[in-house]
Amino acid sequence: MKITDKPYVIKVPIRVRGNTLGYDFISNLALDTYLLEDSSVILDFSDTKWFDGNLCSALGTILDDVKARRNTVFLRNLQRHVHQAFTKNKFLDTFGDIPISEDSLTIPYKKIGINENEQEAKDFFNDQLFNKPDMPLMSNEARKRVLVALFEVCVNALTHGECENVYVCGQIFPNKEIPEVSVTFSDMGRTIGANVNAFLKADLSGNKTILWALEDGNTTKVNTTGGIGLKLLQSLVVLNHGSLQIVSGDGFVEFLDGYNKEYELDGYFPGTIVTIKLRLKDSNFYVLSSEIDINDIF
Amino acid sequence: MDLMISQVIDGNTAIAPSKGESVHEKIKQALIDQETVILDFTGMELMTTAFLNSAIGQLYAEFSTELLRDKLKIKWISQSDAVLLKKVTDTAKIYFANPADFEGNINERING
Repeated sequence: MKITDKPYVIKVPIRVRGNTLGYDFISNLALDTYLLEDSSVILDFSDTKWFDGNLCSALGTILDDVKARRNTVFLRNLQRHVHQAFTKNKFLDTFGDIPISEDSLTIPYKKIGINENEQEAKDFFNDQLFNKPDMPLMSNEARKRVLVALFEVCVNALTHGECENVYVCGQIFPNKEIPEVSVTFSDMGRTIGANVNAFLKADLSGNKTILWALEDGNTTKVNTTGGIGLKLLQSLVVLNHGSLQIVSGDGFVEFLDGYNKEYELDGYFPGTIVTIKLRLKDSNFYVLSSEIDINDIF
Repeated sequence: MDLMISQVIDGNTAIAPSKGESVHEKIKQALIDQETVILDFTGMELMTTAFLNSAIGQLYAEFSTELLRDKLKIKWISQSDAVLLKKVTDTAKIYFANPADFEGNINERING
């Protein structure tokens, strides 16, 4: 449906962070543009002083969808800091008109397809996360745990969301007292609420369905097991003193310091956004609960 | 029979569940033929639980725990991967012991 010949202008707020206000903006952007076809969409950043770089994956998910409906997207009036952030993570490569160079403190904006070469995907994270100057020294096992955690999120999006692509973007903070990385995955697939409520034949809120999905062994797959990846991710986050945020539909749950905190969203995100924050130099980074006897696995 | 996972999937990275299907089929056929299967994880760099569920977890729907314990062996698996695999097999044992109960319990907890 072509709404108007005039460009559809959306004002971006002063700050877009991984909190209720930030996710509300992203959810509303998705809904406000959902029916647009053959139009021009302008995102006006003139008031925006901060935009979390890792949330570019969520923004990209929406804008890619908007473009798929033959709309044209323009990012306008980017202030210096936001322009820098979007340049460094290569987001403007896709949605801007300025050729740019890569920055060492980002995991560049990337669309990962369901048929992505897995070796290449692994190499991407290895290169963009671990093989950067100033990165803290990490053992191979610690690196592996981070990679497995990230790919568990990726697989969840592609299988449960039944979507073709998942979008990723990250920000690395190597010079913090405790270096850390924030990575956001985003997709426009089926929401967790839609999956869980269909499976349980229930009508639970977005938050309750996210909490259900986080419980050990819970999965919406039929006649098979699953639901382990997210639980392992939680365990890693606990050990690492990191955090995990999940936004899906009208749900927003943050897992921090071993507890789930539920937030109320005014908006509704028609897909899922997962942000994982991990410390990169942590002597407790991976701890095996006990040595596994390989003769006692089956 | 020795089953080198990296050869079956033609690589050292196993992320998507679809990649586990070929591994699962080979194990299943060998078990039907009453062979002992030695799962060789040499060279595997990265595996997700989604892959392990598909490759190994679903065997518990088709064979008894006793048979799997008797016929499946492992070699050259890293400790961190062994943790993932143990988690997968433990969950599968509980689930496939009685899927209806498992899902019924979940429904009961949610809906009261």
